[in-house]
Amino acid sequence: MKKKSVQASINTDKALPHTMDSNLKFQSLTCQIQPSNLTCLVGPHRSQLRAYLQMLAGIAKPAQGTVEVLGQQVSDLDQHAWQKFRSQIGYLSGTAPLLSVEHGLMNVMLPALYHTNLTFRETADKARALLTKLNCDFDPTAYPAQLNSFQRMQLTLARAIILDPQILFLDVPFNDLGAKEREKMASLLGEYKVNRTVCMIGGLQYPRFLERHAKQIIFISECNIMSFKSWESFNQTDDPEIRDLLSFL
Amino acid sequence: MKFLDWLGHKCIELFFYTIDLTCFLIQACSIWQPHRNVFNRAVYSVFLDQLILTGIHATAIISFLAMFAGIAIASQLVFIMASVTGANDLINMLARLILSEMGPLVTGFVMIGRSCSAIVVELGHTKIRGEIASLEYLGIDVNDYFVIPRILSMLISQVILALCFSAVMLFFGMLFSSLIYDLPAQKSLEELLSLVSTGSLFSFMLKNCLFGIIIGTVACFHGLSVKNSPTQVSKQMQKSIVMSIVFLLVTDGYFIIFTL
Repeated sequence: MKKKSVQASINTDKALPHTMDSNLKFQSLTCQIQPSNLTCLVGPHRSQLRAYLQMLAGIAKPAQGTVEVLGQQVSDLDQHAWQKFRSQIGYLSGTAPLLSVEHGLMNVMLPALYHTNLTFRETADKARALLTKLNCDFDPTAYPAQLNSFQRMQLTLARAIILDPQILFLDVPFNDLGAKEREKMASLLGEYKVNRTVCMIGGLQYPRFLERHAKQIIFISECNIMSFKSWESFNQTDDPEIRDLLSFL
Repeated sequence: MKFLDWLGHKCIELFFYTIDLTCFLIQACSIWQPHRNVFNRAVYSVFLDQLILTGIHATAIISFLAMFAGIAIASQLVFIMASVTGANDLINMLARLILSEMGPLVTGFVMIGRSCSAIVVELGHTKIRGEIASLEYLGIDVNDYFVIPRILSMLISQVILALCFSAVMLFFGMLFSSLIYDLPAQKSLEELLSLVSTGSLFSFMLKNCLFGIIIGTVACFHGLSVKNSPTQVSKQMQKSIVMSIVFLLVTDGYFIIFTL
């Protein structure tokens, strides 16, 4: 058990994400994302936070410094190793949609069909069981366009966790959800974060979730990177940038 | 001078386009490495879907076209050649025209109009909506899941549909000729089939395989070249159709030169 939690940690050393076309200034990040806990990256610029999240998730290699995920240096992975590595990491994106040409069930089955040797029937049974656990009360063979945003998010969560990843990345999981749906989503995420290392952005869309579950808050802005041990300590800081950010909530 | 400038510019553009396209195909095929399970179930499912869409669903229109082309062209040829040079030349000409040229080319054009454009639109919209990026986050290779199944299904569909087209065209051409012009259709058909050698069949298969690969590669290349605007989808679709036709005719010309 201890070994698993050590493996599921994420360590960065002076890691700087690729800035793409952004005009924002990026600071190098040295931190440890605590295993089996929820860490939230917060800050005034969503695109900046996403660049850091994607670097931590191993989607984008760091421009400089090192990122170690599951005991592997992200920069050293070749194509084959990278694909295998990705199958061990769940990534839920509130903005990147499901595949519209496939129905809901197939979308959930896709990672399992691609990465494992399970038969089609076994995979379908596994996906159906997962959807039942996630309280999906709609027809799973409906296409994403026929579903509402919460139902799509349930499918996206199912797709992210069908391979039972040790690490889960949440990219604005409360995006496009109403108040009641946010609460339902928070309840699902709270349930599925147990025994997993979770790193997220977009937590400020639903602060109550961070209040309940976050064990580490990393504030990232153009000038500063600061780490806090809980939502309370983050909320009580006197830093003007953080006070400014919190004033918008 | 301006015309020469324009011509030179276009030639350079075409040269670099060909290099890009070749690199795209090589990169797509490079996923087939020894450690990889070539047909995993997700890829196999897409491949079957595509085979149904590009191959099976096109059988009716190809057969319909072949029937009318057979009646219109083959029967005219039968009549003209029978009255001018005799049956031997007629069979040779039919073999060359229908099996070597019309079958692959007409099938290729149907595939371009029907499937190439569909692939560009589908991939283009999938890319604009960010659906491809979300699959990459799950470790699903774009080439593996989107490109290779489409190229393979296009290749198989082109070969089978061209065979189907040639067979139906010959059958109806001969049938119509025998009904209208009172020619010995069965005998002509037997002679025609006796002309089909291993070499000509190999050439036919090779040509259709190349056509399938070209159409599939051009379609996927342009579909994935869409950046972030829906207007680019129609532009890429137009480009893909034009470039597919150009490459099809160039390849056909190459075959004509080496088989004449």
